[in-house]
This record gives sequence, C-alpha cells and structure tokens, in this order.
Amino acid sequence: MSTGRRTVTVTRSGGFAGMRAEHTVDLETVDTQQAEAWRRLLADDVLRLLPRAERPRPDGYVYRLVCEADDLDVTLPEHKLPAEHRALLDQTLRLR
Amino acid sequence: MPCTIVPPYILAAIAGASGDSPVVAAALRTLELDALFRGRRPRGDGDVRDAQRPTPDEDRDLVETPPRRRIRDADTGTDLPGRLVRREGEAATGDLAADEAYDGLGATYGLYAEAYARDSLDDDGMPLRATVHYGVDYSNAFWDGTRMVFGDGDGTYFNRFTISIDIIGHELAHGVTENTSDLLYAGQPGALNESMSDVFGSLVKQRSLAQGAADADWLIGAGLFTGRVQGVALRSMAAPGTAYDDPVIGTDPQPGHLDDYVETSEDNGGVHINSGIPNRAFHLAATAIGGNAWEQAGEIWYAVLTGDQIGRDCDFATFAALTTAEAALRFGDGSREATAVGEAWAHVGLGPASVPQP
Repeated sequence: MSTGRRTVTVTRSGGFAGMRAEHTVDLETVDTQQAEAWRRLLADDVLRLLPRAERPRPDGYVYRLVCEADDLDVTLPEHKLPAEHRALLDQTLRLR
Repeated sequence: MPCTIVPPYILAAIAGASGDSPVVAAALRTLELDALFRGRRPRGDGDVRDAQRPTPDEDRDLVETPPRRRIRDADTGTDLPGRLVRREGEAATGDLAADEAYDGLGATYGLYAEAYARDSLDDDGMPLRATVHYGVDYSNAFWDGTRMVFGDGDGTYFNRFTISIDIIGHELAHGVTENTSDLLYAGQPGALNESMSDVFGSLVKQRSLAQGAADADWLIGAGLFTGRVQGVALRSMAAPGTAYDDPVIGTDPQPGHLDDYVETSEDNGGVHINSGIPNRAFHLAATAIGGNAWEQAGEIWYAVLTGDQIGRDCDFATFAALTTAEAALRFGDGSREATAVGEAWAHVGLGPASVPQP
C-alpha cells in the first residue's frame, strides 16, 4: 500500500431517478470518526469477494469506489453493501 | 457490467438438489455469502424469490380476495420486510405512504387484471407486497425480487416515493418482467426493462385517471420533486431529456433517439438513461393510435413482453421488430395500429424505415 496521499472517489449511479452523484474524499483530512469508518470499509473483504454472478436489483443504486493508492476500482450494488458502509458512502455523497 | 447472472433462486434450487456434488457445495457457499452480505440468514421473507412462501403473520386469517395486498413499514430502517401495517381489506392506516402504497397496488393489479387478464405479477395470484418508510432520507424506490420498497425522500429535493402512482406501477412492472421475459438488467435489454416499467407505470396512472393518450402527461414521477427543484418530473416519455433542468440536481440526461444513445458503464449501462428511446416510441405509437393507451398500444407491448418470442437479451431493434409484427398480427397488415407502431420506432431511429435525428 502506498504511504502517500490517499483519496477515494465515490460515484453513485442508477436508482429509480437515474441521477448521478460523485465526491472525492481525502482520507487524511476527514475527521477521525470518518477516517476510521473508511479504514473499515477499505479493509472489508466485501470489496474483493463479491460474487461475480450477481442479479442486479432493479432501481437499486450502483456504487463505484476508486482509490488509486490501494489499487482499488470496484463497482458494487447497494444491496451487497453492509448498512454501515452504505451510510458512509451516502454521507460522503451529501458533501458534494 | 457482466451479463452472466446466476439468479439466487437457481442457486437455491441447485443447493436444494440431493447429493454432495461440488456444484451443490459451491451453490451453498454462494448463497451463504449472499446472505452474509445482506446481513441476514439465507431464508426469510425478504429473500429474493421467497415470495410464495407465506410468513406466519402475513397469511394468518388470509383474505383470499385479490389483489392480496400486504403493506409493511420499515420504520426508517433498512431491514426488510418490516412491520406489517395493512393487509387486504383492512381499513386505511392513516399513514400517507402506507395508504398510497395500498391504493397504488390496487390500481396496478386492476390494470393487469382488467386490461390484460393477468392475475397479479406471476399470473397466479401472487400477493402484492410493499414496504414503506425505508431508510432515512432515502430518495429512491426499488424492486427487491419479492416486494417494492419505498423511501420517504430527503424532504429537500424529493418527496416520498409513493406520491406518484406511476412509480408504484413502475416497481410492480419489474415483477411482471421478472416473471415473464426476464430482460437482463444491463445495456439495451436493461433499458427496455426500465422502459417496460415506465410504460406500464404510466398506464396505471392514465387508467386510474381515465385519461386518453392525448390527455395524459406522460411523465414519470410527477410530484416527486419538492418546490425547490426546477423540474416537472424525473422523466418525460413524450419528450425525453426535458423533465428537469436544475442548478443543483442537474439536467435530465435522457435521449429520445438512437443517435443519442449513451454508452456508459454506470447505472448498469445507462438503463435509466437510454430507456428514453423506447419510452418515446411507445408514446408516439399510443398517441398516433389514439384513445386509451392501455388498450391497443398497451396490448401490443404487453403481448411482446410476456410472449415467447422475446429473449432475455432482447435489444431495441429486436423489440421494435417484435412489436411491429405483433401489431400487424393483432390488427392486420397496414392497419392504423401497425402503421403507428412502425412509424413510432422509425422516429426514434429504429426499424426498416428509420429516420435520422432531425
């Protein structure tokens, strides 16, 4: 893992409204509580072990997480994300 | 976005088969993973394709009169299915969202039953399930494979999602699609899947208001935006791309012609964006035919969606050809209906007589 600056870009697309939201968060400047939530999310196997054979949920949100420092670029349907992570992402997107 | 999909119910069927084969073991593992990620056990009311399995409280003193509605309340949590608040035949709860959902389910059941002789989503009397008050400030509604789920909106830009009856019809139409053609939820078949939901959602509204094609607003989600948003609805079937234009929430991105098809990896390949193209074709066909859109035009679309010619990977061109052929079969070659359907597709850039974007 890189020891340089870590940023995560969160994109949410889909949903009944089909509206797109995006926000980039700098993990070094977010508050302690948020930073801890981000550490838990980025370390969560859910990002790497998601079953590829997945039936999308009609009108569910689709999240994409990109963190270059972690060599991470994943797309996840809303219903595969634990509530804690989903709350963090939605909170982040409200900062836009 | 991969299109290879093994639905959970197939995995469950594999896992339920006898024997200890590696396939069964793998299916079980996937199901367990699946359940783990959902934060619940593999079986339960909320699980995909578990709809037909009655839960004790829902079906106690079961009222057998269709549409067999059951409304639940998530109490702003995200655990499904939520607390049962109203069953078929019970009095209004006084909760706006719960009662709007109940009425919307009834109107939707009525369209399918009376216009298309279809008994519920599976054409076998399946109970209609809804959960309201899902999440906090949740500005969305979705179909989870067994029920429609509605958020309250954020109150700033979005009102509650039960406010517009076509949204209820939209979600339930996903259930009909899943039980029939089962169009893939990605790319062009995904945009068709979305368009089917907008078409039949709008037809639920038009029929409940007794509006002919010429009088309908052809909007999806009218009333959903708060007064702060510059927009009339989320989508316009008559004029895709014109529903909203707001400095904060952005501009309606829908195209209304194949030339403007949006290639994207987001939104399962732009399913909520490119649905504007087949939406506009339906609007053009229905208004050219005239009268009530749920009659001739709706019958043609319904017959193709639920027929045996359509495949899960159906693209726009194939759907255009199927509906044009269905119109000719049903109403005759050269009939007003057949001509209207062919010309409608041509106007959005599809079919043998297609015309470019002006």
